[in-house]
Amino acid sequence: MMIANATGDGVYQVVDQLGNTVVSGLKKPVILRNLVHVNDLPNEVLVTIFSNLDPIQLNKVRLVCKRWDFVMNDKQTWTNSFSLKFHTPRIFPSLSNSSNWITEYFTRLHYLKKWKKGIALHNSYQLYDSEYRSDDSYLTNFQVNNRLGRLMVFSKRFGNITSCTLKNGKAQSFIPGGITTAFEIVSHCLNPDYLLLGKMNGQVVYKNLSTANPYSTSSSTKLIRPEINEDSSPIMCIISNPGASAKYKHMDIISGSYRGSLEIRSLQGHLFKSFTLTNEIILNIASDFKKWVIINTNTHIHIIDLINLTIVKSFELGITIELGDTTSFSYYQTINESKNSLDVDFGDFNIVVCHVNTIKTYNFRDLNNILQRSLQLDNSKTIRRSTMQGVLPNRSGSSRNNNIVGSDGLLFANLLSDDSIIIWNIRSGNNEGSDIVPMTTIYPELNHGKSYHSLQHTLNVLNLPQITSISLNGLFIAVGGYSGVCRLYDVYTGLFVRDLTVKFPKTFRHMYEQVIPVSQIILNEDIDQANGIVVSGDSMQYFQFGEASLTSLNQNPKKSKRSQVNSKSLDTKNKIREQEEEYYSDIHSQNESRKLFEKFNGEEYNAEVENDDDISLAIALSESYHDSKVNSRANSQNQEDEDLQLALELSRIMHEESQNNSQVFD
Amino acid sequence: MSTPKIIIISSDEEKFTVDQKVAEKSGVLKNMINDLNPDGLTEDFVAPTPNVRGIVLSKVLEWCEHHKNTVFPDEDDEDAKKTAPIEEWDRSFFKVDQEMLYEIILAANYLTITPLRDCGCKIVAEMIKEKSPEELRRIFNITNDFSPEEEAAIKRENEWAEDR
Repeated sequence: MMIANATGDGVYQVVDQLGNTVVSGLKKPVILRNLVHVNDLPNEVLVTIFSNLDPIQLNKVRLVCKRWDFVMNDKQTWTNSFSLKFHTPRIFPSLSNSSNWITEYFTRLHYLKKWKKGIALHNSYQLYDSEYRSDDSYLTNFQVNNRLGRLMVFSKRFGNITSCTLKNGKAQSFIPGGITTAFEIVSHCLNPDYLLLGKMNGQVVYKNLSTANPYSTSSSTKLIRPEINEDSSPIMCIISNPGASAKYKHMDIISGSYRGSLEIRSLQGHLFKSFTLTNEIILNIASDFKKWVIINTNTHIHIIDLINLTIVKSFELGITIELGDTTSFSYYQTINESKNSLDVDFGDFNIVVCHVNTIKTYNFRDLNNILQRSLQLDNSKTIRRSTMQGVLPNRSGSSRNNNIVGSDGLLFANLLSDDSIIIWNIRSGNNEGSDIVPMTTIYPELNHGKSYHSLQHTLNVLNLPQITSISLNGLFIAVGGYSGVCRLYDVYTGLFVRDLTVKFPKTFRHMYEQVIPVSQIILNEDIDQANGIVVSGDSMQYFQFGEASLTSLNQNPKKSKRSQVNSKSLDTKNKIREQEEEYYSDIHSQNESRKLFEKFNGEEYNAEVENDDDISLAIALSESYHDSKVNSRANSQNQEDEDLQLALELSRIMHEESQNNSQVFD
Repeated sequence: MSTPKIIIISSDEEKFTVDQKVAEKSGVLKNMINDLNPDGLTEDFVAPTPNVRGIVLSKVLEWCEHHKNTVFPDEDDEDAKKTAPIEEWDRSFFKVDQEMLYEIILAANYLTITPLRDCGCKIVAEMIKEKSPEELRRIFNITNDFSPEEEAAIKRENEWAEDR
């Protein structure tokens, strides 16, 4: 008979999990036992216990005793608790961009509720001035208060631009492009204030949209790259700095040509630097307009340092890009349709390239050691659309912050040819050679209602896909089909959330008589706004979820002046209350972040502190200031300024009276 | 010759004889048996568990015996682990006093019987659910070691959250 303790002198030996021999006790352990208490359990066991609890319960648990409070601040506890409640993985994008899990929890609940259960508003409208097709470019301008949001549509074929209010398609304005030759425009870049066109003959044209009008286009148009003899090849791609202004001479435009000529210019056309990539076709350019420019040609990726204006790294793409038939009449346009996609996560130095059935990421944090990850789909599937998660403009350039909830993940989605969608995390690990593992796979089923069978028949005959477009934010993925049908799915569970659109009114006859795909879905990057637009050819449907927005919309603009002031004051009052809440949440966040700061030694979460006594007044003032800013931006009329004055006065009175606990408004 | 058995000795020197399959529910025992017998077991194997009392060990082995044929979801499969409800048998198995419950969890933790440990943790979590901090202190016999200031600070942090 064999005994585990081979020493024989009365000492037990036990092999632990790592295979080390541990002397664990005398042959006859002295039995001196106190009653076993819950706090005799080791931390990791307490973590396992708490991980089974709802986040709201965790808050109460903190109050029990110091040890429980300590364990409660454990990242693992929260990660598990979140995974249980929201099905989030270890790394996921934060919605609050806070390092405080409780803040994240309530932000998440609030957004989920708003998107899932918020009262829906839908406005359908049509663009009149032109025939818009599926390869058109759309630009929306979501403003904070949503009064000024505009939609701009650019038609690549004719160069025309139509713009209208985003919400209801009112105030449509039309700027003709004056393009007569087919396929003249190869690339373009649309901005709220200007348009850049990259032409077949190598010209780059700048068009000022704020001065352009339907009657004369020449005065607002400027040729910033004339035809050059050495390289008159088509401008394959052009990008511009979204925050660029023509007043300043900054590096704001980057263009790339078919013969590998890369040029960095200002909006006035001043050439800062040009590079020539011999024998390469520039397909895509991405830049944060601060530090990096990423160029993707048919064979290579080049990384340019924008500060020193040098190519700091070049490496092979590792994917064969199929460029199509060189003899075709629309060869250059075909390239733009069949080329790979390029997305760059500047915050964490990730380049994402998708083409046919390959997804590749290249991490360039260390320029001497580019880390590649990839996903090779089987040959029966191809990638039809690729999209990176939309982030707020003020976050898009900032570097990844590991201390915020979920380690600041970033999602990416691919629509595949079998009508499935894979969602994966760009920032979920940088092990060289490791495969990209999809977090969620969704097989959406779109409900095309009564027309389902006839539509299905048409799709089968024409061999068209069920799903035509996707759009992704940190919480949901919108999936579009035909006739404006669009549904929303949860990115973590892959479950259906709600219909994003309603049926178009009967007056939109073409929507029912023709097979019109959803060409684009644009979600507001600010998830809290819960709005966006679904584009089906020339027909748009604006959607908005949540009550708050509905009340502001229902305000009748023709009400008497007095009642307008009243409702405005009430609005202000509500806003003050909201902001007070925000203030307390900020205080809370700050306390939490101080703790976390000590614990993880990370960046401190930003929050402003103000004197408690002054806070109501300060908020009221900032509210008025904000309003005045918004109004001045809107070029508002004098009447509104008067209203503002009245509202300001009223809010002041209200503030004083509310301190006396009396009611001002009935 | 009959199949070799595993003899497990508790801290109070009580001996339990079980099948190898039952003992191997414990990761630690499984490693120990296989490391010392790379060619398979030929004779009875004695394994002392000096941290576990006999009365607790008998409960743990009762669980192992019952679950000797159960295939548990993969360790890494967080989702499956989380969503799995507590089985009826396990629930009645854990109808014991608090002290025994913690000792079973501790033993399961020490012997790396992960499904048993997780199940015990779920039972404790159910005891915590829907309770106020005061109730929790009473139930778990915990002394409030916060100073009034510290307690007030946490309460303030929680207040705004609970209003929502």
